[in-house]
Amino acid sequence: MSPDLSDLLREAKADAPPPRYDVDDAVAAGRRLQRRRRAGVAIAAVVAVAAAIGVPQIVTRGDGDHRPVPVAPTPAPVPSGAPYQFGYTSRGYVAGGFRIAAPTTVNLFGYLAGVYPRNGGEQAAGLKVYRPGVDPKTAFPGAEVVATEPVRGRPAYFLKQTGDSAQDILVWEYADGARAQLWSISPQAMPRARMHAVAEGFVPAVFRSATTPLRVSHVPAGYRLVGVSASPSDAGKGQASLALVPEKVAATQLAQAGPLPFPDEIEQGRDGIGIAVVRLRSDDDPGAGKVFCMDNEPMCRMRAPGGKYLLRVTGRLESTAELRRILASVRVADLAKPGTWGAATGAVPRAVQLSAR
Amino acid sequence: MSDKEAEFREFVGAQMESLRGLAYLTCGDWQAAEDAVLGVLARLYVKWHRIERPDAYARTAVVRAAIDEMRRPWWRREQAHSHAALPDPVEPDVTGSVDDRLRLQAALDRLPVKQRAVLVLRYLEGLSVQQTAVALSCPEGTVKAYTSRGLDALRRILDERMEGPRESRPV
Repeated sequence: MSPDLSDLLREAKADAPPPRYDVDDAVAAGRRLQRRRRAGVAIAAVVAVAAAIGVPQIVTRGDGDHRPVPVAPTPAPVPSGAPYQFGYTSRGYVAGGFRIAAPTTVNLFGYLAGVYPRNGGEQAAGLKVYRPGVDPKTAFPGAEVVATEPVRGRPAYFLKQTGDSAQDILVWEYADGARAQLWSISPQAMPRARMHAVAEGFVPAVFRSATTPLRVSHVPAGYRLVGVSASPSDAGKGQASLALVPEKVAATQLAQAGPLPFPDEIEQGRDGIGIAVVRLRSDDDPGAGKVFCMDNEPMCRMRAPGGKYLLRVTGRLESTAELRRILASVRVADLAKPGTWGAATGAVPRAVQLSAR
Repeated sequence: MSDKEAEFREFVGAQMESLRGLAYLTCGDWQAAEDAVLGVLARLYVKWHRIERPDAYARTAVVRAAIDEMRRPWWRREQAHSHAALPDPVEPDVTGSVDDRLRLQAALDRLPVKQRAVLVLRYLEGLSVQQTAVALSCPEGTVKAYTSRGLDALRRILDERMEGPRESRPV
């Protein structure tokens, strides 16, 4: 077959639909990326005067109505200079025929939770809960803001995108200056009316720290922890990751008013160091007891103890040897026992923990 | 227009279509393929003068991006275009006028994505085992194994489709 395979492969892509992008689109995308990167550098220069980070606090009315009422964000519940606390201010819940899972991914903009049909099935939507001051609109340049009915008496709107990428994105204020966002995988997966019902069901709760099964004792100087993601083992699908970036970048992200990269983006090694434990796949298996690195690739990987998971470290560092040192210093708790996990902040040495301002 | 942009435009004009096809054969979805290519070209624009071999860079990056499109977690879909499922398996052509192209597409869809990427890089792009290993960041032994397994699997699937399922089982 192989002598003919080249021809067959050329044939197999012969029925291409008309392209959606052309040269102008590629240039425009390149310019946008360049602007974003330059803007990141500029923001770092003014980080010293950035606004304080806040976490919404909950009070209870004294008139018998015990519905939680979010009030204006107050400074983070840690003194200035103390380690930045990664955590969540809501829990999983059920509303509008959907189950909103407990959040499992948090970075400096806020956190993320999956939304599923209550009776089971594929994931239908996603919920992002932003820290106060972050405006989701900045992630959708050009999107039209369409006002809609308030959610729990607070302003709400749909972000309407143009073109094929149009997705329903509901944004609402859940506390003063703090917004949440719900987006549907497709209009069929979660109609707009249901999105409102799911948003109405969202209630901020007391802050609780994110936890992770990962611990790393060696990190190159100058990096800071900026993102944590951890899902307990569920039918072998558990995973966890830590994202670290250079200190200046972390300060920029802390001051930034727009959405930030998720840990898995950083884990790809473009902007920092990613440390992850993922399900072992046969095509990624380096073999028992072996550390696999590529000289021209910013990644080293090895089997985690037990042989069911893969440990992976990515990052464009000075040498592969540094990646190996980090990998050798990683310890993993049992992904099936989240009760044994530790607080995310303590997953890295003190010098690598970001300081609250 | 700067020299840099003019050179970049010329490159994209010449390469975009083949990169799009490369990404499609890797991930099996035209929209995901185009998103992967656009993302790679944007990064290439930023580092245009720092890349010695833009064609090799783009080819490798596009295949990796297409693999990532297949593996990316659900939250990545937020701003993506609709990612239609891979095409339905093609039914055996009882009339005898079998369409090689559709059969191969369906057969490729059934291969693990990295196996598919190995076959595409080796037999469409003509890369050596060593070049493919570098492009996919895996050992040469893995490339050899995937090539062998991928060809065997394609042969088996295509034979099965030509002859019809040998036993009653879901395809």
